[in-house]
Amino acid sequence: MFKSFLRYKYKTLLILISATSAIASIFLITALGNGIISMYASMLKTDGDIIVMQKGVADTFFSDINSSLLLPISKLPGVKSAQGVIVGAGAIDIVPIAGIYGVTENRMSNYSLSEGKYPMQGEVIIGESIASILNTPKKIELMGEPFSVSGTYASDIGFENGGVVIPISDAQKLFHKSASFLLVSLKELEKSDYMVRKIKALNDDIEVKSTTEFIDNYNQFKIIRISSGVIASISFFMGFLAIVSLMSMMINDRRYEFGIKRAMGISQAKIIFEIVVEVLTLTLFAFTLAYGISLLLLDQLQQIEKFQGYLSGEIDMTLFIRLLIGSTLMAMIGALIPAFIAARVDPIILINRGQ
Amino acid sequence: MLRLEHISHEYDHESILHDISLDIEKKSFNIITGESGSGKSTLLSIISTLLKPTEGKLYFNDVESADIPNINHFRNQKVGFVFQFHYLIGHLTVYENIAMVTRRSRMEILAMLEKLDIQALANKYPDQISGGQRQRAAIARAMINEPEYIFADEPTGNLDSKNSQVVFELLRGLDATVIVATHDLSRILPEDRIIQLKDGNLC
Repeated sequence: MFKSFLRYKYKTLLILISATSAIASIFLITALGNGIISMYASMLKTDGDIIVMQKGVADTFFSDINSSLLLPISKLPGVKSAQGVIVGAGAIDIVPIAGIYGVTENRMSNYSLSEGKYPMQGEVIIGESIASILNTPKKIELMGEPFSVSGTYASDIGFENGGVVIPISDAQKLFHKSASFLLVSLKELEKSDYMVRKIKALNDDIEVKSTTEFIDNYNQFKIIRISSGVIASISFFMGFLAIVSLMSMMINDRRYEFGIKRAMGISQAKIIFEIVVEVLTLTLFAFTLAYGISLLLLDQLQQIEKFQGYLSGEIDMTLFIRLLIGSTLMAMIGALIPAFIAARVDPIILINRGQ
Repeated sequence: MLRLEHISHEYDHESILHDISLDIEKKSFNIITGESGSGKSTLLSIISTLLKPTEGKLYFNDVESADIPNINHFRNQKVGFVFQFHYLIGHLTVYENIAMVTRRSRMEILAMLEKLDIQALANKYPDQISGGQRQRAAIARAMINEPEYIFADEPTGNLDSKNSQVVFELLRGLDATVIVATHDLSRILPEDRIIQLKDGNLC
């Protein structure tokens, strides 16, 4: 059955390349988009069941919330801890831009030290990724201000591993704000809606959301999801447009063969079944190849020092299944439409046209 | 018996065949002849069910072709085709081209190839063998299911005189109703039924 692949080897190869590139590009674009989202989401979820930020701002980077709210929040019954965070970005020595995280003392322990100690005022701990770029320095400059390096930490979150952590008091001076957001950890997660209402009642100028709700509605995440979705869809569409046309060209090239088969009494159903098997085989092969290439590239991207671990991505099962169904359907459309049309034509016409 | 009733055919608004009616006896050897463009191939395609006529009816043993319950099975079991350009599938070997259309065993297929003196070519591809050998392979494919009807459209059109003679001898030796469309009058024998066409009309 698969001898036709060899007979039309050039077209088969083109289809295989188009399908593999289209599928791999969707895997990569979506996985990288999701990776960035999941890194930031993981950072927020660490000891954060509820997030408190300035009301009416589009992004945590622009949020400025009074860190003095930490005290009344931490005193609320049901609150395990409340932590303040400033998220900023700026030049770190020779690195033009990287993440600078100012955190309250009670959040420091979230950073797993690989050496040294947690920072006091004027000190900084640096992620392993940026430490490797800067050759494990003793002193560094953050946005032109000198800091002593008190330790190095390891984090699975690329944003953090490629950035630095300083006491929130130092970050307040660097970024001229009190806190970007407050993260509240609860004793009982089931009571988060109730606790959200209680925290909201403390101040009219704050926005309080459960971390899950925040992640689902965060504008930046929506933008990343929509843009990666649009880019992935365009590349999918372009790639599979090529597959649909190549498939239909290949099937049209075989009208002669279908005509002969029908003249010999081989049923349309059997001919179409053979095409379905061929298309499925080709698509599944391209899909497996694309999946393998994507995993390899994602792994390599994470290893590239220049990206400081900021590029992370994983292929989740939903994306895998959607793409598998989508790619198979598109290839089927390309192959089956001309096959069904051919099935309705008299065999001798197929033979004569296909000659 | 095979019967045609008032068969006419048009292609692109051009009339190809006009009101053809004829009866063809069982196990007879029939030759459709006429000049190029007279409608020989079109008539043969219609008789062999590969083309639906614009008008008219075709009967096989008093069953109208449109009423044949399974046309694929009919074509596969009752009909054998031999064409001018052999119409073997290029990416299949000689053996596979025949095996594709039959449930007969490998031994039976090889026996058929041996009968046509091409057993040694079983694993060759069509483009690796000569025109005469390709036509013999096509005849083997047509004969493998021992059909009642054999239709041959210019089966010697691309063959030299020696191979043409071999092909006609093979066709004449078949225990079936044979209809051959050809413009090669030198192959006609006195006992053959001649169906003469001119400009789409029976003469």
